[in-house]
Amino acid sequence: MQFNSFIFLFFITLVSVLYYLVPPKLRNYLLLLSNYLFYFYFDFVFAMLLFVLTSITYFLGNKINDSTDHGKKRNLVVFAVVINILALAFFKYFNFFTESFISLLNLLGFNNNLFTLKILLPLGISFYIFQTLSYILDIYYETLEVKSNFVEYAVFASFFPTIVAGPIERASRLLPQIKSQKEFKLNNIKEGTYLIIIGLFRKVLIGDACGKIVNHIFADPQYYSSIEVFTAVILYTFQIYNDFAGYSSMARGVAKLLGFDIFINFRQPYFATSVADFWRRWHISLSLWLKDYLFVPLQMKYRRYRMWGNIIAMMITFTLCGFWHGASWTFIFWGFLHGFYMSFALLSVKQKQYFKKLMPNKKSLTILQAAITFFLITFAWIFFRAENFSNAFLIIEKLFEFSTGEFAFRFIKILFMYLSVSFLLDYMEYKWDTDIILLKLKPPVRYAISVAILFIVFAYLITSDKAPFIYAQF
Amino acid sequence: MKNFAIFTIFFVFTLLFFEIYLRFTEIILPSYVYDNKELGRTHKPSAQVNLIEAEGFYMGEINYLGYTGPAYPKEKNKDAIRIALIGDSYIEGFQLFERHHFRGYLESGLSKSLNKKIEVLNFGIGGVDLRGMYLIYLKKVMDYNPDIVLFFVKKDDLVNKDVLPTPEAYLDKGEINFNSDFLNNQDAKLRQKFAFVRDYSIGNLFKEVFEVYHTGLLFNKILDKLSFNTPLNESKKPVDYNENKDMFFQLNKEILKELNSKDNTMYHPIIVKVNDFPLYYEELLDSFNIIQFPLKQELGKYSLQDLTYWKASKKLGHWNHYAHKIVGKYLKEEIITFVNKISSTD
Repeated sequence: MQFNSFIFLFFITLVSVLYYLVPPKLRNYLLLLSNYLFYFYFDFVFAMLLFVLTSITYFLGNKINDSTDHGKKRNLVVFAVVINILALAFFKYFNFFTESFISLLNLLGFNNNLFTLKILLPLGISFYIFQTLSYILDIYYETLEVKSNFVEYAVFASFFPTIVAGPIERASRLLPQIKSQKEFKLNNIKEGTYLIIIGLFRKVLIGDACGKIVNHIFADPQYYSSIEVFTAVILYTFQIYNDFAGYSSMARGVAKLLGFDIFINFRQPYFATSVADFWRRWHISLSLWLKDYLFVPLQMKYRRYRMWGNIIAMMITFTLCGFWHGASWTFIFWGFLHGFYMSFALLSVKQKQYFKKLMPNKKSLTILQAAITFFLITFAWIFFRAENFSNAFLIIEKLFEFSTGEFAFRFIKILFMYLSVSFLLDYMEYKWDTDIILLKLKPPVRYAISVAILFIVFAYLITSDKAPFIYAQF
Repeated sequence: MKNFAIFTIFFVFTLLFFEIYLRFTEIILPSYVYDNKELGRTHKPSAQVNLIEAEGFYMGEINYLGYTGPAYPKEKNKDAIRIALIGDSYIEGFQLFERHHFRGYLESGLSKSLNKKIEVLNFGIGGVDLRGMYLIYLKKVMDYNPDIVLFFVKKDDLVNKDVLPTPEAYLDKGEINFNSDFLNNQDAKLRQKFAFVRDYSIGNLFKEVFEVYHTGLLFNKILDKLSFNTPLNESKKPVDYNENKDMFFQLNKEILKELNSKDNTMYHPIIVKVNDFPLYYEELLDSFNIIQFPLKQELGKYSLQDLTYWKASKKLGHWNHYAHKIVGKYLKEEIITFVNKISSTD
């Protein structure tokens, strides 16, 4: 059941009411049941996989916790990590590896009839495996202070507000909340509801609506003019942001209704003044995960190479980050491109300082930096969205054709409106320093705006096919 | 009281904002069709259209004369050859931009080959059947003095499609007549009463919600997998080829007879057969000597995948970009042969 469906809205209403009605000691059982009902709705078989991985990880986590021998601890951690990574590799990357291997053999002139399997991707596997890995690693690094029972851990591993597409929660943040007794607070309901409304607006009326144009132009760029392709590229930049930020806002809202406080996953990413700054604002839970569990250990490993060690760690981290997003060379290249941007920034610190001196006006400098960053990020998104390299290059080629087409004005008008509204939302979040912007308005005003938003969103959902969340496919 | 007033004011303001937002982003535009007393559902002159369906993406507008493509005035340039296209959604072509529609290929191809000014006018509209096509021909197309009129007919168009609110054809003493009773039923009256609503984006959005409700699919949308009703994709009524088969045959026969009688030096009605007709219709057409373009044979050279596959949705549907190219090229050749034949006879 998708967050942007009526059935989910019924589900969350029911779960929230029951959650506060049942005795506190039964709440985690109810939550666990809800998590699995939510997952069953998508797929029964893969819910079994989730349960098996949860059980194995919990068992190994306990063993690591109980063990006093450092060597044994390390072996158990390696074993737990390998099991989780193997599950991810099999379900997410098996097709990619076999297809790449077959292509390589064909390229080398070997005709082959290798056995291939078409393996389906279990929903949210990339997210819940990273979440369970954080549990194992936090136990190993002894940063996890609380000890949980199986039900508490199973609630953590299958937590329905975050299982589809994050935010990737840390055991050290979420488990204490699962263990704690939660009281009904009207403020949580208010905040949760407004977060869901803002999320629905972002997802349905910006993300999905942009996506309709993007899908057609990216599928057949050869039929469109440069302005039309340019519009599609920029619209994708806003589609993916509003789709994912909308999802994250709804996830936070749903968790809030149940008294949980989860990661804020986005902080106006397109206001970033450098690529590094972008990653501090975009998919924050993943950035922090990669930093803590991959980049920092790699940086330590290569520290003797000084700056080049940092660059190696950065390139590995970002390339793997791309691979995490999808089993395709275009995703890998997208990650590599980000690694390259960051490495280039590291290597050109002196030059950057020199240019900064040439522009004494701080405001114009910030705008210029934000514009350059936006351009770099948008360029990388082409590879992220394109089905393959030839599609990506065709899009780039089309951009440089400089053709206008008969609908240039209409495309620019569409682009302008989406950008204005998306930027306005971000500006309000930035100005008021909160993602629950509706709460900053006077009660009758925010009620009126909320009702009007729901009115339009529901009408749109009824009349169009609901689009899946982009990150739910990773 | 004060709070209620503030609520109302901001609610209206937010709806106003959404009206602007929906129009600017073209998520949904005001309706591009209206119920015309003579023609039934028809295109609204000068309306902007943006249809992003699962199949394709159309952006364009209905010209000020009420049909798609360039607006050619009713008075025809003496030196020009004017061709009118009449057909259903395949001819309307709201799945791709006008520049990729076969109308454009046909017009430019013929201009080059015949070295003459060619004007191709597209009167296609989704959901129309042979009776509807004939009505459009009588009430709209004839005013534009076409030299050639292409009727794109599919097997479905020979039976009762029952899709659009449209004047109903009937035979009176062997003559075809149309009555406008379609405006008098309850649905039509309601539509007329609230027709103004569709001139706004929000109004048009809620009209679509009403249609979903009216067709009984609202609960499917809300209950998703838990719905016990017919799934959305199975809810469309299949065409019943035997329903009032004789009545439609008599009507179609008269229409074809009428068209045949129009086949003189002024107008040349041509039946473009998009797919196979039942044998008794083939015999009927042959008995009238009416000119036929067997488009089906040309399309049969390609797979369904080639002609109707849409990459964005990975689904089969109406003619895609490639099919339009094929159709344009085919019609160009057929029309050149036809024009040369006519010229040599003259």
